[in-house]
Amino acid sequence: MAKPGKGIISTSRVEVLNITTMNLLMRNPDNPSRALLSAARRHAASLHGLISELSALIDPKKMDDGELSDLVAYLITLDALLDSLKEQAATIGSPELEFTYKDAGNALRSFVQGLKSVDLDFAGIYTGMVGTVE
Amino acid sequence: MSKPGKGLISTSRTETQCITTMNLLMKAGKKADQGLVNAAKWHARNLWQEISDLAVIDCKNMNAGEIADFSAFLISLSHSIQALREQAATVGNNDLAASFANIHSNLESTIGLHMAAPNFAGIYNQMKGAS
Repeated sequence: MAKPGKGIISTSRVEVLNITTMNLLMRNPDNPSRALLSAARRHAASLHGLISELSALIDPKKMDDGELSDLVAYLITLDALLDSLKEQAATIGSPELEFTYKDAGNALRSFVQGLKSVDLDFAGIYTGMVGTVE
Repeated sequence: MSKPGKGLISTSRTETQCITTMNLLMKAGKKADQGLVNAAKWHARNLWQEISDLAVIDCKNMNAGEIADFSAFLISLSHSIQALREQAATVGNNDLAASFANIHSNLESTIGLHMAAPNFAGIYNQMKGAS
């Protein structure tokens, strides 16, 4: 793996906490533990915060093609993950969590759009990996 | 946990990306988008590379606790890769299934290299329950 940058490392750590906590909540979706819900809200807010900071931590102009591919693969997975977490939040009946994950997904997509507009190398690799023609 | 070494840390990070993406592909089933499939292939490629890098970890400088951590990590990783291969087969992606099979072979080769160190071999075999 190429150097992923500090942003990806810290986001990935919080991702795991979100996945674990939401999976635990899904084990008893009709009667979720209040403490787990509070923890999930905290983890979701942290993930949202870290995603909002990605633009300050990641500079694609300093990345080679391998590093850009790592970044793109990471962003694609994270986008799909946020959608999945949002669905889980809906299943356990937490509109607040659902909104946080939705908003985090919007922040991520804005970040990606920003990168695509300022960095042609990133845009090319992103488009190639997503498999769409724009 | 003892000091896991840079190799384990970077491998674990890539492993998480593989697990997350394969779980998302399993959830999507036939509706999986090409971007997620391509991301999974890239994560698998990185995991293969990270496992190759594990060969340079020097067990001779590790104490028994560190070797036990390393052994447990390798055993979990081996099972995790096999589960990823099964998931790839379940979603009907032969390329990904072959990649994970190849990664597993790479890991077994790496473990084989470390088995030359008696202090590693003893603890690893004991943890695996091998005679």
